[in-house]
Amino acid sequence: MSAVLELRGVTVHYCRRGARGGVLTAVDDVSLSIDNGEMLGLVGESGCGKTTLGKAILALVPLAAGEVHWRGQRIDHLGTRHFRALRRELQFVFQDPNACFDPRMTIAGSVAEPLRALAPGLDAAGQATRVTGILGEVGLAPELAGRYPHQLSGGQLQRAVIARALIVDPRFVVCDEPVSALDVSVQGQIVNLLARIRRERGLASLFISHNLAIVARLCERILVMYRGRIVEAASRDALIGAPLHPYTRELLDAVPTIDAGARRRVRVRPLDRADSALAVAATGCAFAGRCAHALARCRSERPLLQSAADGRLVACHRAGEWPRGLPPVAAG
Amino acid sequence: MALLEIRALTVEFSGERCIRAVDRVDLSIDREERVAIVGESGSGKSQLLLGCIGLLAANGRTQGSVRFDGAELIGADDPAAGVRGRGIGFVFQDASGSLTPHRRIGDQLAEAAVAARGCEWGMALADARRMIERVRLPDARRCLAQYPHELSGGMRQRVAIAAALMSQPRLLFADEPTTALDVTVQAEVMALIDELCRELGMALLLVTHDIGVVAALADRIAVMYAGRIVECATASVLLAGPGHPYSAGLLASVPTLADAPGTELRTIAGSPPAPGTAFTGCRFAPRCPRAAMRCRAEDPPLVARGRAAIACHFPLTGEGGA
Repeated sequence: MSAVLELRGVTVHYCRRGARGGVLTAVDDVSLSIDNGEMLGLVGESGCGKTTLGKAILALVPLAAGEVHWRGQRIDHLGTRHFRALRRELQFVFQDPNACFDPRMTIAGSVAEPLRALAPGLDAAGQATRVTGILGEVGLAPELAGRYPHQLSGGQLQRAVIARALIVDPRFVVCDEPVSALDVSVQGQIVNLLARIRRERGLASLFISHNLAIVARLCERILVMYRGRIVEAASRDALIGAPLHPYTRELLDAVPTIDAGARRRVRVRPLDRADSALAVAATGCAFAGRCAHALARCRSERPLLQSAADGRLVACHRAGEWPRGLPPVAAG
Repeated sequence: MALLEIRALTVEFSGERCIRAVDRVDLSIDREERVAIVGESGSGKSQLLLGCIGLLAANGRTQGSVRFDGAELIGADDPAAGVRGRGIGFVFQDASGSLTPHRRIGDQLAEAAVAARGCEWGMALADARRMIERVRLPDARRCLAQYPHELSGGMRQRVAIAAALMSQPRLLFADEPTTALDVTVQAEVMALIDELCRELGMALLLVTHDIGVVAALADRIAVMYAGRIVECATASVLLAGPGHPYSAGLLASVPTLADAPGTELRTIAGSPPAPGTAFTGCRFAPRCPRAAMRCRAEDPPLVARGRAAIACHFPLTGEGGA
């Protein structure tokens, strides 16, 4: 399989307004590739830059540095007009389904909207056929087509969001936290739907979430992002079985376990100033302030993303000391 | 005597048609006990909390009885005013919504202590500082002088918890306190609530849609569906063997790392009934894999079965149902 999407050293800056001013590096030198038909997982906490990275791929934010290549063609420096031709191929599924729809438009109207913009040659009958087809594919009953957003449940709305992204037959989709606004009981339905769509359409995608358990269900290969940088990239089995970066370990420990006997492993740690999403360590490892394994070197020298065993990548000075992965934090 | 005794509590909203969000719910919480109410959006779990303390929307009405430490809250002129002084604290899902944006953290916390205990301002400020340290926020002095927008979501939720504790409550109501937070922060805030309840000898009534979040924290779990409690048991009994098919479905739908990758996530078919639906028979029957004729005709009461109370004609024979 060959990569359909490649990012090389992508960096995104946001200018901060107001007294503090300055530049915030939201995404810092990120490289990745996604194969044809692959669903790549991206995990990290809010403010780590994962949504910005997704937007950078679709040229929804300007790059400060780096390149984005889609099927061998460089697409990051295209202007809005030239990028428009690619909008049919590259789509975005947003997090909050309630914010995605015009409350005064019916579901069918909203779902058909991308067709009007991106396939203007299609007549009304053709549009209606496409809408009916796509609503069926995402499991929405035909009678919901004429309803308004407030008449649908959260799960149904999220299905409609997915339908709207798929109606133009994209070849790549960024799914940004598509289930985190939903009830746990409904999350599974949407996760299963995305897995089925990927299987049936052979769609390449980037699946963004803060919940490692959900990403692990869907993705073979997972990237862990912290403060704008990739800190670990590995196969699902390697990442879960033997995490090399302490932050990955923390994410794994945070996944709820339903074991009546086991007490939560997470300890209450004092927060430090660096927890504020905007503060970025100028030197050293961004995670050092929170890391139980940090040494003096971690605070002075930034670790680079380097190859470890079995082809995985990790950005940690001490990763070599635990080649079999970090064990779970013992109950305290 | 239980610390909080809810008897046949019903919460209704009037409007074009009357919507019954909570339907004759019984629940009691002992001193220092930690109880979780688990259910999907719209199950009435939040309205149950708000109904107890008289914080319903203007068109909401409560019937039944809620006794806190022997004192009746339903029918009181302003139930919330009564319990603020007598020791129920609240933490809501949206921490920024419970803090005033234009006042410093320290002033807001101190104000809560003055309102609840009538102590003088200087003492209240000192208390505020101790409480900020207690919820493990760094640099308490600076934090007291800050405004809510200067803090991250996780820090704000810690401040909201600190504010709830300023009145030295004996019972803490927490409504989805971690749903708006990241997974790692979520786990920490839960651990913090756990620690504070132990140290301060405080009882907890926590409401959430994610049974995974409370698995390690609650002493007892009540599962709520369409305005009713359908199962109530100690956490260890319910987690080891849920008796109600809905509880079993909720448990199975929590994604864990132990699941085989690539397999379908277990889900509960269908969606919860729309508010205001009229029911005959069991409310869960349309979504239930075990539903039979009887379930569609006859509403199952919540009755003791083994070590759990279950509202189901054909409960699963787990630990709880045996």
